[in-house]
Amino acid sequence: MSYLTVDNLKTYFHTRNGVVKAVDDISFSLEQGKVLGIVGESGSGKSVTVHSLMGLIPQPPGKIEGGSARFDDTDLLAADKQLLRALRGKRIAMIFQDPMTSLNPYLRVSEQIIEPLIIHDNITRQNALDRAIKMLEKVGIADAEKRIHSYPHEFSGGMRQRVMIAMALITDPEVLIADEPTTALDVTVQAQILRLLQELQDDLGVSVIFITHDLGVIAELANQVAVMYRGKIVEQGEVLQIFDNPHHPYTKGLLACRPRLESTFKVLPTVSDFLEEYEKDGQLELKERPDADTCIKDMQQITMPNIDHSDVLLEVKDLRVHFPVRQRFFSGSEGWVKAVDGISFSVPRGSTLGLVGESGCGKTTTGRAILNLVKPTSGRVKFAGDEIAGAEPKAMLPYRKRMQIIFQDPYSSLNPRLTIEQTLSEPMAVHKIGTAKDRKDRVVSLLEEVGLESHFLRRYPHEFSGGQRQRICVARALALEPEFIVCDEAVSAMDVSVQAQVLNLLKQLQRRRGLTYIFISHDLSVVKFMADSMAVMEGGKIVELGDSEEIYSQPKEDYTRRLIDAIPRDNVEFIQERISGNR
Amino acid sequence: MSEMNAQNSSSLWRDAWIRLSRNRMAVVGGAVLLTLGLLSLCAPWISPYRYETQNLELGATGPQLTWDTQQLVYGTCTQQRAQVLAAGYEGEIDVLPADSTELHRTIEGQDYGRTLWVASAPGNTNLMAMVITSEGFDPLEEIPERANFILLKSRGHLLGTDELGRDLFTRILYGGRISLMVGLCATAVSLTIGVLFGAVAGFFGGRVDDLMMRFVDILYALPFTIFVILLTVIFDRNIWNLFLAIGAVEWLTMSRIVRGQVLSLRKQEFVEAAIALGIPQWRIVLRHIIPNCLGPVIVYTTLTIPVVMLLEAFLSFLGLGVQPPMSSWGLLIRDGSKVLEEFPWLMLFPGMVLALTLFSLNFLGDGLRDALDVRVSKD
Repeated sequence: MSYLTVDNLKTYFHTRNGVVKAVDDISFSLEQGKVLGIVGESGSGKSVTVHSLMGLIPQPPGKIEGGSARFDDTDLLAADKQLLRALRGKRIAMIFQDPMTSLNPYLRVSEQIIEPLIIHDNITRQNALDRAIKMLEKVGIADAEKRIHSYPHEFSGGMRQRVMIAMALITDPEVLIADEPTTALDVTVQAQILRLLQELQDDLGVSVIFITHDLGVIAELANQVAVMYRGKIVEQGEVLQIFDNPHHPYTKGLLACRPRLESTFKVLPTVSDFLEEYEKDGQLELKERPDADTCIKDMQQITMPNIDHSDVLLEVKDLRVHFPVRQRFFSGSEGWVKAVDGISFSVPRGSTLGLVGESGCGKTTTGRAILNLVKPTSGRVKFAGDEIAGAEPKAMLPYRKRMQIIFQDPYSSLNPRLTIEQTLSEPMAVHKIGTAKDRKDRVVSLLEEVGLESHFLRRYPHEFSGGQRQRICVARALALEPEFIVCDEAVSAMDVSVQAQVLNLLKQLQRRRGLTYIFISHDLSVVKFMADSMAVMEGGKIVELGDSEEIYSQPKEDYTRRLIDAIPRDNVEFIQERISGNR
Repeated sequence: MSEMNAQNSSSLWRDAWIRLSRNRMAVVGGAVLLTLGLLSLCAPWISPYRYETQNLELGATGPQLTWDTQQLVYGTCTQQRAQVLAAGYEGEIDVLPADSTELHRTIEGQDYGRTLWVASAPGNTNLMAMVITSEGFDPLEEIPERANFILLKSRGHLLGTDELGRDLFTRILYGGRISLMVGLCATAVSLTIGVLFGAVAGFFGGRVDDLMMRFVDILYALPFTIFVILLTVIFDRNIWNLFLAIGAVEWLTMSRIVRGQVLSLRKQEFVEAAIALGIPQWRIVLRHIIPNCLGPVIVYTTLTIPVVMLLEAFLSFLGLGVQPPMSSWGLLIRDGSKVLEEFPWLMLFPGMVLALTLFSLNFLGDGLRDALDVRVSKD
């Protein structure tokens, strides 16, 4: 039985630069008690779709141009505000992406959970509280009776997302819309939340629209899948069909460009290997590339050069970074956070060391301490035989040319007020490399090396997409011709297709220039793709260190095993098992 | 810096200029400010009066929108007094015959306008007035046998006069010199100190930040009046000390604003990237951090200028800074507000000029902020 039927929905945004067809004529239906996964990359219109259903589109500039969304006997798109308000939070509930900002920090959790109950169900406070406590127990919050009176900051991210889920489910909604509910969470927490959602869905029989950019998450949860690209649904069907036998080239590309634990690719296929885009009569046309298969085969032939393990470029010994807790002006600090607590490893020239762990494990601090961006408390960092730990800025200067860093957020890592040319030529000017003319030529060749065109020189960062910006960041890191680069979650903020491109670029540069990387990420499959050896970090310490293939196939530590198990399983066997087992 | 960078940054400024010139309100604001500045600078050539010339007999008169049609006559009791008046007067002067019969004969057939004033005769302490028209004169009191009369041809007062008979328009023009200069200089001082201080405190953070900000707190805590009186005691009274005093106080808030901005900017990864690239700290502050604080800085600056202008009035009142007969907009408004009920124009006109200036500043400031923000789309 179809429950929520969307027909020919069109949501356009009328901006100063023209009409953006955010959602362009899509139709889908949600069946009772099922999970519909809408998957797509940023800008594909997946969030706009559900926001349109909920009447949350800011108008103007947004406008719903046509279509219908039938829920029971109501057309959600035509319903007046009052009716929508009665439905929202009562029969259709929503969970948002960021549990950190979706809760009001000044209100106790109890107040926030019972609010929809009191508004919609008209019951007494005490009854509402009782139901809220039961719901919190259901979403797995221990000691709910006490915890319900806490403030949001007293919960961890995962716990907050549980609270959000409890809040959404407390009115017994028939439809739950989850907009990237696990994207901001650590992989182990994500696995718990997914499991929880699965249980709750079985238990309560609620129908779910699950929006995500991550196909792996879809594979864990969804019954039906709709793949969105540029405002359109390019493919929809049963989850098994989508994964086992995708028809549309975009779906194929999406599936292929995710680094997987079991694959041995040295280069990742990208969406553009499968998909050709061209405009015809002002309409975007998508076509499968005829040579896709050979292209992929060729990729598998590429191998990486051998590594000489005796040629150690970077050696870290017993590195510690402790941060003071709440330092007072006169009284010193009250205690120390041991962000990095005595770690040792070495990186041979031309190889990649992957640093993995959950947020707060100290992997980022490690990267920064190696580059002296934070001062190590103690320990040794030897770069090409020279001791550089805690070196003064002057003494550090010659090494700045040789070791670089690429950051996670391509939006904040470029100065918005400098053109690309200024950004790229500044480091060379500071290090007095070449004449102005040489530098300009270098900048052009750098841009070409990272796959950007030279006429971008005079533009400002805001004119580029996230992927392009990250390429610019890579170009800046390369400007001084370093031997060693720390990639700090360099692809974490990206869509999978862009991630594949940037990962390929990094690999290609490594091959061409013999670069040495430390690749920091929370995503084990990405690290597995990039790294020759890897270190698993927990609580500022390395719990397991070794060859990355070995660690994946035979993890020695429980923690490592937990990390690996938490990776969403998107292989066909698993999906088959899940579907036949559950339903 | 290389030529290449110079060329780039010139294009940045040119882009900003083009964007600014497309913003109509900002252009109007800029034009108004420029006009006001020029008028103030050229005051001696524009106004026939001097700012210090008093005309006690005239007193406060309302604005007369006619120009160059009205004439004034002062009759004085003695030759000496006549000369005194004549000396302080820049209009045309006719000395009229002392004898009233003679006077009749002289005035007859001449156009002296409508309203004329004639003052007292010897021994008569009360001023007396009469209206002279082209038909003759109409004494309100009898004119004594012998008195010196003097006819002053005046050109009227566009915005009226104050209680001392000084021309308000002239005083506003001259006051503008002080006010605009204070606005400009004191704000420049507060801008420079505030931005640098805040940027350094925010960038280095930690103990440096603590020390620098406690220093700011101490200055904040110091009562402004006492601080200024201290300054007057230590230094001479002159206009430069005025700038110093105002600048020394106004930069505090600016530095706090900039520090807050810098604290958040410093955590941005492009700053860390710059450190990792070995770019010297001073260069990071000047090139990567300060330009990114421009938005709030410009907005706060446009808010500072009026505050500074009014502070100047307060300081002048205390005796530091502008001394009468020189004036400024702030002082004119302050004086005008005291006699608001009797002579409303004395407050109204300087107030309007100040308001006009502030509006223009705000529009110009908004325009500047948008023009300097490269993120605003180019179309």
